[in-house]
This record gives sequence, C-alpha cells and structure tokens, in this order.
Amino acid sequence: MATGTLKINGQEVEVEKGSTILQAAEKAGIYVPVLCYHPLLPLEEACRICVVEDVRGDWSTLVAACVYPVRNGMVIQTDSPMVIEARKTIMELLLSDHPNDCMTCYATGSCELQDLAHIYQVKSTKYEGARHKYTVDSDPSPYLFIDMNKCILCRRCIRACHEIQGADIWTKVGRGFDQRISTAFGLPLAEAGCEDCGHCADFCPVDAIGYRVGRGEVRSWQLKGTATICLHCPSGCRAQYDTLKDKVVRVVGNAESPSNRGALCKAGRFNFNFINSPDRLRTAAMQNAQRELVPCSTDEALDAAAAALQKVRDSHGVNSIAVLCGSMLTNEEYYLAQKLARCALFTNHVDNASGAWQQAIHEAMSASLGFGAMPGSLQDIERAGAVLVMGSNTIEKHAMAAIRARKAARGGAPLIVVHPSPVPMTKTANMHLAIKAGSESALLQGLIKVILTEELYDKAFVEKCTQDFAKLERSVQKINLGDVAEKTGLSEEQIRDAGRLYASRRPACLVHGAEPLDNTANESFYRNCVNLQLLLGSVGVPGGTPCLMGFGGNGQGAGDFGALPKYLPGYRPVTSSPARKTAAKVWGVSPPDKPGMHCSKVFEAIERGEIKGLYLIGLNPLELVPNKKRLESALARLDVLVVQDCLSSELCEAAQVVLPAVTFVEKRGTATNCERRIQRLQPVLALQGDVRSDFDLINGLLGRLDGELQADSLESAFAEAGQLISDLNGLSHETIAPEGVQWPVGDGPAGAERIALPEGEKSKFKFAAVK
Amino acid sequence: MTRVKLVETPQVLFRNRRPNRIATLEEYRQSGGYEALVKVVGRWSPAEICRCIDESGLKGRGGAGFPASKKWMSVPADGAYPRYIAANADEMEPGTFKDRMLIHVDPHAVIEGMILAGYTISASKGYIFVRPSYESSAAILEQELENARRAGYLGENILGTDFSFDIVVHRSGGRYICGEATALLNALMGKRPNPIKPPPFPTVKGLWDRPTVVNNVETLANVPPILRNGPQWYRNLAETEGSAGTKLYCVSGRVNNPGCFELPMGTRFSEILERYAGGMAPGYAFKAFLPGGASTCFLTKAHYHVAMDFDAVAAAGSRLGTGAVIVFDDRTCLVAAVLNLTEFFARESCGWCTPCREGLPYLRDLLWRIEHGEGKEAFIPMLRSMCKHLWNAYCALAPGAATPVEGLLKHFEDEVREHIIQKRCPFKV
Repeated sequence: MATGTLKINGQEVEVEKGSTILQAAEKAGIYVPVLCYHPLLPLEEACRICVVEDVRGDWSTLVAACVYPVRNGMVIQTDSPMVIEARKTIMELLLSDHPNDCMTCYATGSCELQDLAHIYQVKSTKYEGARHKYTVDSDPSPYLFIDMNKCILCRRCIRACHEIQGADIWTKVGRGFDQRISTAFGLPLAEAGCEDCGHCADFCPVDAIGYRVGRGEVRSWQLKGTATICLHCPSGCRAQYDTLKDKVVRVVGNAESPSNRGALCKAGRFNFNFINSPDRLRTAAMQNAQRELVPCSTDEALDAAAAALQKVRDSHGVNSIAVLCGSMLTNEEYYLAQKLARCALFTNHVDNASGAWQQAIHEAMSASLGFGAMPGSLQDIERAGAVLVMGSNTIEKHAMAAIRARKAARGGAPLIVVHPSPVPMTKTANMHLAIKAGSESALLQGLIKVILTEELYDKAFVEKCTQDFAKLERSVQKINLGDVAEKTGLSEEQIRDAGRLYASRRPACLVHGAEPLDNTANESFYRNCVNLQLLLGSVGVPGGTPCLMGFGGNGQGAGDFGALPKYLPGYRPVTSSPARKTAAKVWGVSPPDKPGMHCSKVFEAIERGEIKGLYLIGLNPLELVPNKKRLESALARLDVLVVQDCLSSELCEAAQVVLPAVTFVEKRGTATNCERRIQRLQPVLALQGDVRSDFDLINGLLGRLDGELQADSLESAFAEAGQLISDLNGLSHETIAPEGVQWPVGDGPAGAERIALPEGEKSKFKFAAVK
Repeated sequence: MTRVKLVETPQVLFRNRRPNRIATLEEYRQSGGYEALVKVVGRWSPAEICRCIDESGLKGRGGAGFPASKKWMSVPADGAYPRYIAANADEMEPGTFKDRMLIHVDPHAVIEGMILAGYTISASKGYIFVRPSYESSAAILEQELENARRAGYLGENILGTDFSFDIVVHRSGGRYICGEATALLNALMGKRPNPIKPPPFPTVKGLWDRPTVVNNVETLANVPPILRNGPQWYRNLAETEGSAGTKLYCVSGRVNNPGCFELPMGTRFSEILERYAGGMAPGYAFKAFLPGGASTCFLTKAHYHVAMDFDAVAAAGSRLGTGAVIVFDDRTCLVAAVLNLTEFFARESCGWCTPCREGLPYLRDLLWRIEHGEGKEAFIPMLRSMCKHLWNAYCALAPGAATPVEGLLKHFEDEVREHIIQKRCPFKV
C-alpha cells in the first residue's frame, strides 16, 4: 500500500495514500471537531467546522479535514488562531439560528453542538440575526419528536435515511437561509412512507429529530448505555440499550457488529416495552391443592416443577413429555434445555419455535453443499449483482437483509420482490411479483426452468463446482411454465422476465425470510433455492449466496446447540449410534435414539393424549398456530404444564407451575445469527424480584432431576457444548470479540465469512431434482 | 427599437449585429460562418485544435478566465463515452446580458463553437443551459439548431464525416447557483443544483459520470473565428499586450448609452464609458464601477483608465469577471446598492454550507441596519470579519458575494460611517 507522510501540529504521521486529513489526525490521536461528518455516512462537507490550516510555506489556507486528501509532505495545523477563529465563527453562525434551549432540551449532555460550543467557548451569537420559527413537535409520529428549530442542517438524517435504510423520506427543500429538512411535500412521516426505523434520530447530532420516548422525563447523563444483541429476528443486531434504574428508555444502534453496523429496525429500536411491562412475571407461582395458582418462591416452584415432570415421566413413560423453547433464548439455554429433555426426561421431544424451518435449512444446505447453514453472510447481499427477495415482509421482519438488498439496488443491481401484496420493499424494486400466497416453491421451479431453457446459467461454475446437473435438467423437463403461471397467478411472460432479470447480473443473492404461519418453507423448497443459486454461480462467492433465514431470534443457535428433535448439538443425528456414544461420553447419559417431534406435531400429540407433560421455555405456542381455541383445549388435557416466561399470559392460568424468567436484554450468554455469527449478550438491567435467567431456571431443574447433569457456569456449559459442536473449534466466551465469530471457527479470530468453493470431485456442490 | 451604437473597432462576434433581428444561417455563412467547421472536422486532430486555441490565448468568458484549451485538454484520453458539452447560458450575474445579446445577434456562432468543442473532445451530445427568463433565446436556438441540422452541420455524420453530434436546449429551473458549472450539471441531471466540489473535475466526471466540458456561450462563439483566421489574428485583436481577442462588455448604470459592446480586450474603462456608453447621464458624476458583474470588487476614480483585460483589472484589485460593467454615480448610495446585491446573493445561496447559508443573511442584516439608520460603529469590523469567513465556504458563491461588501469597505468606508453617524442614509432626502 502506497503511503504518504504529513505533519500535523508538528507531529509526523504516515498514512495510506488517499486518506483524508481527518483520518490522518485520528491516526495521530489529534482531535478535529466534526458535525456533518459521520463515519457511517457518505461525506457531505457542509458544516465547515472541521477546517484545518494547510500551511504552504509563506501562505496558508483553510481546508475541510473530513474530505481533503493528504498530500505527501503536507503541513497541517489543527488549532492555529486562524482555525479557531473560523470554527468560532461557524459556531456563532449556527447558534444564531438555534433556539439555545439547552435548559430543557432532551439532547443536553449528549448534544454535539453543545459540546462544540463548550470546547470553543461560544456563548451565543455576537449579533441577533434572523431566526426560523418552525412548529415544535411538527409530526404526529408515535416514535419521533420533530423540532426543526434546532436543526443545524448537517443533513445526516437525509444521508442515514438514504444510505442506511434506503427509504429516502427526508430531503432538503428551500434554499439559502430558508433551506430546511422536510419530507416530500411536507407530508406527515407516516404518509410519506416512513418505515419508522429511527435512523434519522440516531444520527441527529442535536435534537431536531429525536425520540419521543423518555422526553421530558430523563436527562442523557442519567442514562446508562449497554450494548447487547437484539433477538427479535435472526439478524443478530448489536444494539445499545439506554437504561434508567430498572427501565429501558431507548435503543440506539451500535456499529461494532458487522451484522448491522449501526443499523436497527423498527422492532429492534422501538419494540422494547415488553421489558418495562407491568405484565412482567416477578414471582413464581404454583397450583395449590384446590388447583388455584398461588405465589411461591422460585425454589419452591422449581421443586414442584421437577417433581411434577418426574411423576409424568415415571407414570406415562419417557416419551410423554416435551420441552419446547421460544426463539429468544441463548445458546447455553438451548443447550441445557435439550440436555434436560434428553438426559433427565429421556425424550427427544425438544424443539424451538423456528425449529422446523431451521432443521429444513440445515438439511437442505447439508445435502446440497455439505455445509449445514447459510453459506454466505448478510454483507454479501449489498455486494450482489442482482437480488431476489421472497418470504416475509422483509423490511419489518428481516430488515438487515432488506436494507442491504436496497443498497445493492441503489448500486444498480436489479431487485425483484416476491410478495402477495405491495410491501415497503416493492417501492424500490425493479420488479414486483405479486404471487399467490404459498406459491414461492412453484415460482422457484419456474425461474429455474427459464434459466435452464434459455441457457442463462453460469456454465463455467456449473462445470467446475457442481455435480448432478443432469438430475436437475431431467426433473425440469417435467415442469411446465403454464402450470407455474397458474399456481403463482403470474403470467408466463412475467416469470420469463423475472428469470432473465435475475440472471442478468451475477453474482446474485436470494433472500428468503420465513414467517411463523407459513409452511411453504421445507427442505425441497430450500434445495430449490440452492439449485437456483448454483445455476447462477452464486454460492460461496462474494456477493452471491442464498440468504435463508428462519424467523426466530436465535433459531440458528437453537439448532446448533441441539434444540431440535432430530439432532444433538452439532447436528449429530439422534439416530446415529456413534453420535449418541460421543454425547454419552460428555454427558454420562446416553440420549434416546428415537427422533422427537417438532412443535406442531407435539401439539397434535397433546390433542391425542400422547403427550402428558409440557415444559414451555419462553414460548407462547398460541402465537404459533392458526387455531388458538383448538390448542387451548388441547393444553387443558395435559397432566403437567410448566410455563417459564418473562411475561404473564393466558397460558399461566392453565399452568401447574409458573417460573419467572427474564428477557434477553437481562441475560448473559451467546447467540448465533442467521449468518452463523456467534455474539455475546450482556445484561443491560439488573434482575428484579425472584426472577432468574432461563439458564439458571433450567439448570435448577436439571439439578433437581439429576445433580450430575447440572452445569457449573454459563462458560462451562458453552465449553461442554463445544465438545460436541466441532465447528466451534474450542471457542470460549472470552475469545468472542464485539464483532462476533462466524462458525466454522478457524484459527483466525473472525471465523468464516462464507463457504469455500469445492476443490475435489467429491465435495462438489450438488444439484437436486426439483420437486 | 434596439439602440445600436456603431463601433469602429473590429467586430467578430457582433459582425452580423442588426437592429431588431437575428442573423440568418445564410448571413452567418456569408460572413465566414461554418468555414471553421468545414476546415477542421475530419481533418484536424483534437490536439491540433487545442494547440491552435492555446496559441490564441482564449480565456473563458464566464467569469473565471480559465484558458479554454486547458479545460478541453483536461478531458482524459481514456475517458469514458459518451462525452458531453454543456454551454452555459444561465447568465444570472447581475448586470450581465452579453450571452443573451450574442444569441439574439448570431446564434450560429454559439452553435458552431459548440460543435467544434464537441469534435475536439469527441463528445456526442451538447446541452445549451438557458436561463428560464430567456425564453426567446431558447426559442431562437431551437429554431436555428433545426436549420443547422438541415444544413448538415449538426446530427448524424456531420459534413459526411463519421463525427456525429447533436445539441439540446435545456431550459433551466432558474437560479443563480445553476450558473456554477457543477451545479449546472446537477440541474441538467434533474437533481438539486448544489455545487459539487472538485476533484474529480467535470471534465473527468461530469454528466452521468462522463467527461463533460462546461463552457460559457461567449467562449464557444470565439472558437470558430480563431480556427478560421488563426491564433495570431486573434491575439492581434486585443488592445493590450498579453491578452487576446475581443470582449463583450455590458455597460449599465446612469450612463447616456447603456448597452453591450464588442471591443478589443483591454479597452480602457474611460474609453468604454465616454466613447461607447456616451458618458455619465446629465446631472450625474462618476463615482465607482464594478468591472465584471456583481461579484467583483469596486473600482474607483483611481482606476478610471484601467485597461479592461483579465490581468490589468486583477492588478487593480478586482476581476474582469463577465465583463459586466456597472457604473455608479455620485447620487447613488453604495450601501444601498451593496445591500441590494447582498440580498440577491443571500436569496440565491443554495444553503449547502454554513458560512454561505448563515453568513450572507448576517451581512444582509448588518447592511440593512446601517442603511436604515440603525448602524453602529462596531458593525464595520463585524462586516469585515464575516466577509473574511465567507471565503471559507464550500463553493465560490459566498466569496463572490463577499467581494462587493469588501470593496465597499475598502474604498467607501467613510460613506458607510456617514450612515452610522447620521443615523440615516445621507443620500435620502
């Protein structure tokens, strides 16, 4: 790398060629103030606060450090009288049209303008000039509080809305002194198409666009910010939770993790009220002799739960109990839950909310690629040449994939969105395929047919990296585009156009996010996804991957750590005797060999009276089924229902024992996102009442059922699981950096961004016949 | 009835100037029009053309005075295609009306110049960016472009060669900042007309990221006669050593014969005022002038005989700019005049950067208070300091806007102070 040397305040700094003065100053540890500049956003060079003196012998000039490239031999002064005077003037000008409302402003203490006024000791302006009068709280948004009087026109909001979210809601209107930030035609945010991601508020250096929540109640210095991993969806975003005493006040982005790089979605940012909810379970409860639920200590409840489960196990046989987990548990909790089911209750009936999808993804990827998870990374999407988005309303449910798809589209990648109805993603799409609900599988077959018959596929890749192409070709012959058109409700021409468009620029990314009530995503669907990607040479290459996501926050971790009815940790099949032996060596107990049932089958078995005991961990199954009534009456037939959750719900009424757990933001442990990134969770709040983490509750039960099985600590449980999960390669909690590790863990610290292309004949990727 | 003052010096751009009508294609041709095109297209290499223009000493007429050949040569040889020419006829610099005159006198001079520029940089399309209030100019250009097309000077395979080039007239949305070359390109692409700070320069990355040359229409109109008559002929046209060609000077103010005159580059101001503009109107005495439009510095009686070329005016402490000479008389309040200009610039600021957006209203308010009897002595250093900080803006608009204020304080501080002392404008009765 070519380098250049410059002198900043007399200090020699060597930087890469093309670096800016600001980057050089940062490297030298020299402070240069910024306002419009933000490292996550494109350059604007508008505020001029970052000017520094470029000394050229006997004359010098002021240049903007944020954009000005370093010249070899350059001499820079960052705090000369000339610079300070210019910065003070900029501050005076900005403050001359600013309310200077610091006494009551929400941003006080965290305001970048205020900080700079303090650094440069600019009180207010020397001269009272014109001021703007905009309506305070000008938008009815439930999330954002808009006061454009405070705006300093750094336009970070516009860039964040464009660059990160890709929604383009904010824009600048008017010119000169009357320039202002506005939505198109001054429409209210909701009508302008705002997606409530909140990025504009996150990036606002003042309080022109701020959060509504906590306003007038808290001051920024009262807040304690802690970063942890959001488990609302499988993206695994790192977010900072600002808390005051026992409440989360707001959630802001954190740029440390590559999974989100500072971005957050509406749910991640604003859906935190469940943490502060009055419906939080704070004490345990169990049924008394009259079958009334009465409060008790958590230890008493654990005793009762253990006794009740043991009784069912002993009286109805080993397969009469099921352990079902939600999707917001940690890896260590899933690991203990499956260990409890297998070693203490002697059943493989253990699953998690998105287990069926996760298992199908694993099986399809293993069969096609010999690698049982998403073969690429979320970042591949933004580098893709073409993007096909299917499944969920992606911008709401799998936002980190969605905003990257938009980013690719901004760079010229054709974007095809497949969804029965118009969703926010369709407005940025080149093509919207409004298919009939549940016909994604048929559409994929159609696309494969078009790409094969029109020979639009990557012949070199197919030749070099794949096998069983003939199988695919044969099976595709049976597919008739007319049938596909009928099933999907599209015209044959639309399907052809879509196939041509998707194949037009390689590598391509196929983004699919699962929905809880959608059962189209099965193994053959996922194998078709891989078929399509293999045809386009878009597996295992930068910018090309199937991006297949379940819906659970830690569904990937649940699968990896064995909370699946068919697999032990590390996807070791329960039916395999060597696998069971390996597990028995670690556990001291051999797991049962008969595969268990997924959630939906468990519900049916409860209805049939085959399952008598149910241990629910952070899961409300009523949210997973279309017919709530039916499941409710089935649950009433159980001998024992143990509900372990952080919120009270209608389920507690039917439970024999209620165990008070905590939300994911109160936990330690690890979670794994859809791109196999293992990240650490940090508690952002202290525990209140007689609550315990799911880990401690499950471990308490384990101890009561079989003391030998209990884990000493979170770390030891993780290490124990690591003995069974070879892809972790001995990873320990301490070695996981804030950016996480993508398994399979190699010798480097970052893990594997994507699967390697096959080298030998045998390891070639496999096409599957379309079904 | 347009007043046309007979000018005895050589007329190049205005050789076909007639009262009340434009020159036809035929008249243009009879006066040597399109001879350069025939001479050059398909025969000369771009390097030969650039050398000829370079030797002629042609400098950009839009205000900055940048050598035209240097701009053309900065298009990289391996630059992408298609390439573009943009002719700047946005002309919103107060006091300037030469582009409009030129288009109304001899539109084919502009058209031929553009085609030659297009040939030189291998462009395939040209845009003439016309100020919206110049609708008549736009209509004339459209009509004459069609005539040129029919005559085979424009369109596919010009004059039977493999060079194809066409021109579109673009009507601007109409703002001063659109005349700034990079803002003009943004406007042409349908974007908000914010300037874009180079590098990369438009000649490397302009319209739709392709090499684009932005020239003033007067600059372009000079190209055909240079190629036709040679660089030495062009240099000889100038009055002063080191400058070249003729210049369109627009004279306004309380003079007897305001108007646009084509005169040798470097004609003295005194000669322009007395001989061509007919001297000061009866009852008015000369006080000062802005030599090159509203964003240049005042010159005074001390510079009465300054040669009006780029170097001499710069040496006098101002800029030749667009050659728009605004003459001020002894009964005009310069504080009010500068306030008027500052109001214009504050209104026309795009608002991109802090100094321009917030600083110009600051200047405007201070000047307003002085003019309306609310001034204080402290305002004078405040004005000076703010002018200095306006040079720290993103583009050249703010420094340009600061210039007349600086000129006011440099040459007429006493007049400003008189306002403050009397708490009124001394020129108002």
